[in-house]
Amino acid sequence: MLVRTRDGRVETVELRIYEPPRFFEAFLRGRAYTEPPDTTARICGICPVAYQMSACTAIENACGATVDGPLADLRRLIYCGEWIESHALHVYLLHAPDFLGYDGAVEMAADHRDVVQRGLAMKKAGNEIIALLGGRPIHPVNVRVGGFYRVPAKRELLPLAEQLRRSRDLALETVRWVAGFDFPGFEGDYELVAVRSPDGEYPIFGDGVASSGGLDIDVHDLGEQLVEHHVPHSTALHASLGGLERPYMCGLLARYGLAAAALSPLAREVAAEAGLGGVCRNPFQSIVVRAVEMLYAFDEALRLIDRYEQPDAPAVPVEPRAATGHGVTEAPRGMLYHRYELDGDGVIRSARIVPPTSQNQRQIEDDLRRFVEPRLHLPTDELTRRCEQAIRNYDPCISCATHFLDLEVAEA
Amino acid sequence: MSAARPGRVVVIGLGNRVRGDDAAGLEVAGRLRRAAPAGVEVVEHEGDAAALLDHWQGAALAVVVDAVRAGGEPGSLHRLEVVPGGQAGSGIADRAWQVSSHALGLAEAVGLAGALGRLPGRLVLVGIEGGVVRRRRRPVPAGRRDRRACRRGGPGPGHRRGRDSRLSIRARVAIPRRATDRPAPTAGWSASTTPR
Repeated sequence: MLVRTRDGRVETVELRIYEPPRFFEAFLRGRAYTEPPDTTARICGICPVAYQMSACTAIENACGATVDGPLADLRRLIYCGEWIESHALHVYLLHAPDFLGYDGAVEMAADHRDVVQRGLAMKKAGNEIIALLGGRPIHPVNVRVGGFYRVPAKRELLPLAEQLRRSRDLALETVRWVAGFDFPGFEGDYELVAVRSPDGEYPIFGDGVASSGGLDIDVHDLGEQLVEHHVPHSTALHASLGGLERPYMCGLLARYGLAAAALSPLAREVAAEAGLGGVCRNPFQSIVVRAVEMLYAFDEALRLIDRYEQPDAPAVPVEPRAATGHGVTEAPRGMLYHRYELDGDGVIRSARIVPPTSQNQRQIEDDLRRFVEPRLHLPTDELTRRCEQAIRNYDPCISCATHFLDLEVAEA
Repeated sequence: MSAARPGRVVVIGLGNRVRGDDAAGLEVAGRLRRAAPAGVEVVEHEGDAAALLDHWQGAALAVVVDAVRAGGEPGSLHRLEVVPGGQAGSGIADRAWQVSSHALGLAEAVGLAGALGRLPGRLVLVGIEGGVVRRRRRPVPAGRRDRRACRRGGPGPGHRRGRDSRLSIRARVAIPRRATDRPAPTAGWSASTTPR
């Protein structure tokens, strides 16, 4: 991370990501329309379900197929599993140590054994959902275009529901625990962007995106409205949306800010108790919102299991046709867009994938610029640690590495 | 310490099947599953190492087999015993054990288990030096790699790119640089299993 200053003012902040390109979009060209759910799941070990779901919905969109009823519920259920798993990992093993002054989860675990056990127990509950519906906990193999290869009988889900009910109490404790952390006074007037859910559900699946500033973009137009560009200082693409000059924020603060009213009653009540208003504009409080979303995901999973009836077929038929399809869903860390252009035989002519971390990149830099300026007097080690925390607010993929930042301050 | 069931022995193979030699641990577990004596559990585990804490829960002895990178010949073995309390096994801090393509690596899982009192009675880590760990590659037995190299006398006309990269493996470190690929800490394992 390079900070350029002049007379004590920060002029620019550059977050230099050096991860090499992975060429997934190119791999997909010439492959069958049935392959992206399995191929793109490999992009991320933490959010493979998000990649599978954006891929499936985009291809079904191209082929004019609709997946609804119990199959759509099962998709939402496995997605809840991923949110729980990813949020528990981030809250307990990555973000909480920042607030409690530990180098990492291992050091924190030495002093807070029960707390870390609680986090691992919730993560495991999320894993169980994915393992049951996806066939295994990482890179699920049971997801296909049109639905699943096999769907569970209702009775298979009942022991899972028992476990989720117990773990929901842990999620409740989590919200209360993180609400007591000290948060730096740091807010932003963000353009919040999240998936638009046509049936008023909390955003996971949807038919477009909406923003706090009034953007309302149908998924078919997202390919044109979501523009990615290279910047000289990073191998990660930056993104802009809807012709906006300024950066935008996607992820859980955006979901919460745009759709808090769609949370479950329990999640709403606990959010209010934790001091969250209808919108949260302090990214450091994202850990509280993450805990609230985790609680919601348990509630939602239980609701979906409760109303589940095993469908007659595990998938709907999806016949290929020459068309372009778009899909957008809410990965734990923000909206994930896929677009596939198919020919009449179902061969992929082109593919495009826009992950949430690259969309948030500009917003992260903007946060850092504002965050660093009043803290330039801090020793480099301390400033580095705080910047890492500010970046971790966004739960970017790079957060896997607890200490990942080299900070350089250059005075003009 | 979790209550160890007397005599429970579990062998856990770790890895990623589509990252070439990173599948070494899974390969070992797969073969062992057919040959293991009664009473020895065998687990093939792909993905997040946090689940190891559950896999070795209550075991008197757990053996974890994983591909490592320590600069040695592909196929060579490293053995490390982790002793609860952190008095031995300083080698876990070596770079070889620190690389992971998952959220939580083996080193963090061991550190976390130590801090939470969830290590098995004895934990033995067996590292197999990997060669090619690129995506979409099948594991390559080191012996076969050597024979191929001898037969061909090195890359020549008509070689496919993938084969060339296998042959030249010793000349380079093949793990792509990732965010989880960290420089090695220098202190003992009990103090420094945190990712840096």
